[in-house]
Amino acid sequence: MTVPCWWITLIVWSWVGVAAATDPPSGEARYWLQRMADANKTLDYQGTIVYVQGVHLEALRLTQRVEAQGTQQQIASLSGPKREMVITHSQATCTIVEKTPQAHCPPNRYKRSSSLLTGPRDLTRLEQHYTLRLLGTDRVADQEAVLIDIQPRDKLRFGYRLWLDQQTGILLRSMLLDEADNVVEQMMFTHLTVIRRIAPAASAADAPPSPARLQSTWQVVYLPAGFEPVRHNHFSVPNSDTDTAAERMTEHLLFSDGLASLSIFLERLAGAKPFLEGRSRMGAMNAFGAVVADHQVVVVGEVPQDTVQRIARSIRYVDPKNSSEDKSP
Amino acid sequence: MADRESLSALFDGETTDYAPLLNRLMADPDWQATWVRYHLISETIKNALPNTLSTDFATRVAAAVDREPIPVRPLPIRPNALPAWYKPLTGFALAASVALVTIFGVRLWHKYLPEEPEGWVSQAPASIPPTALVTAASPPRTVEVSAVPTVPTHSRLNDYWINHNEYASFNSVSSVLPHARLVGSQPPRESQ
Repeated sequence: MTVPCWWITLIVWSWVGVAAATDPPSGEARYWLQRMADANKTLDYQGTIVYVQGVHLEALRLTQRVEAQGTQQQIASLSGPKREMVITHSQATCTIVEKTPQAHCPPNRYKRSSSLLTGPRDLTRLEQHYTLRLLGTDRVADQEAVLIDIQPRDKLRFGYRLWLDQQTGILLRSMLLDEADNVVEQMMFTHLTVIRRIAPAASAADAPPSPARLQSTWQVVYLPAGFEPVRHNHFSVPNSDTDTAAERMTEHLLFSDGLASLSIFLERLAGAKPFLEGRSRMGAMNAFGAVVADHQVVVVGEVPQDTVQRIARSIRYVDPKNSSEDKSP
Repeated sequence: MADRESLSALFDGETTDYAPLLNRLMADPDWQATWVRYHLISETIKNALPNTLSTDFATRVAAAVDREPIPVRPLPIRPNALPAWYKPLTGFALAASVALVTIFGVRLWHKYLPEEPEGWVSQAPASIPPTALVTAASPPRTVEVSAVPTVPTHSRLNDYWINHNEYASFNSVSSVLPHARLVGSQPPRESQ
């Protein structure tokens, strides 16, 4: 049987077209963002990081190792009391190497989140809310880097600049920019050594997503486009405002648009005074508090002040019994 | 003089050869003190300094971490809500954030020991109109709060802040070092 040449050509070009559709060209920011994702799963490396935010300046040594169970990272302080943190796929452990009165580690109860990630099609979704641009090349930690500019398409979120290693895709430097394009914080490698490259392996994070839905008695009427629920917890903590052993229960909703994240905290007042009504700020983080249906509502996130304010003002309680809004639970 | 000009250029982001300058900044106490002064001057000019500074910030952060909540009713989430490419950022962000709040945040607290209540700067609600999407009959009331928030306000906000960053650091490129913002926004005592 003879297969026509034009048919073979069509098949080849179709394959090329599919490959091109799933693998952005290197001249696009998306290509480099995917390279950055791959670097986390395929590279062992060690480097020194400088972090700058306002007057705060610190140096860390970061070591990453890719193991069968997942990526493991170790971060050690380079000044002050010697401490280090080891983060595995399941937990983070803080160790005081040199005990001093100042040394402190929290309880080892940090737990890794389950995978929340999916494939490249989400990059397209991200581009609905951010403009991704490849600005050119630069040099960071004596490495040639590509510079990616990520600008929000609205005034509801902050912007980012990322420097990625041309050879490996490792994030060498990052900037967070507020709505006025002021640099809020920076992270940068000053030294980087790639130790080993590992062949990529399929992981749970690459599995197709299964649709799910946030279930809560609270309705967030206004949420900027692109923000999706990624976490929903209830937790109780000791009531630090009183000397009693009473605990307060708080509901926590976490949303993300793929870059920025924001949290909504809801706590029943039960006669207590609200602790925040209005806006508050710390560094790049903004917060806004309001009272809704006898609950203290606080929205916190690395987004502009107006964003958290609008969200907080839109939150409504939905009575599960009669579905009427704004009644005390 | 040339030294200070280099530091000033670094502060203003007007140099491309920042690596040696940052290395010196990390090692030179005089430069670090000048760096702090530059920021204080800048913040003062921008009228962005907090009204007061912290006394027990790190203690409360540590206490809040000790009381880290345990989710009791995890509900379904959308696994497809976040793109895959920032997974490395999430891992790194978690590592860095956890490390910073523990390794540096607390250490800086002990190092600086500011004497006044701290860093959350509260203001009265802005006068922007609520979104058109808000249609409920009884909108949340908003009242002015003191420019100097109460300690419980800080305590609760810090609790929420820690919780937010613990989880947000998994999926936020902006949270490269999220907990560090808590301490990074506070001028050190030496500069007072």
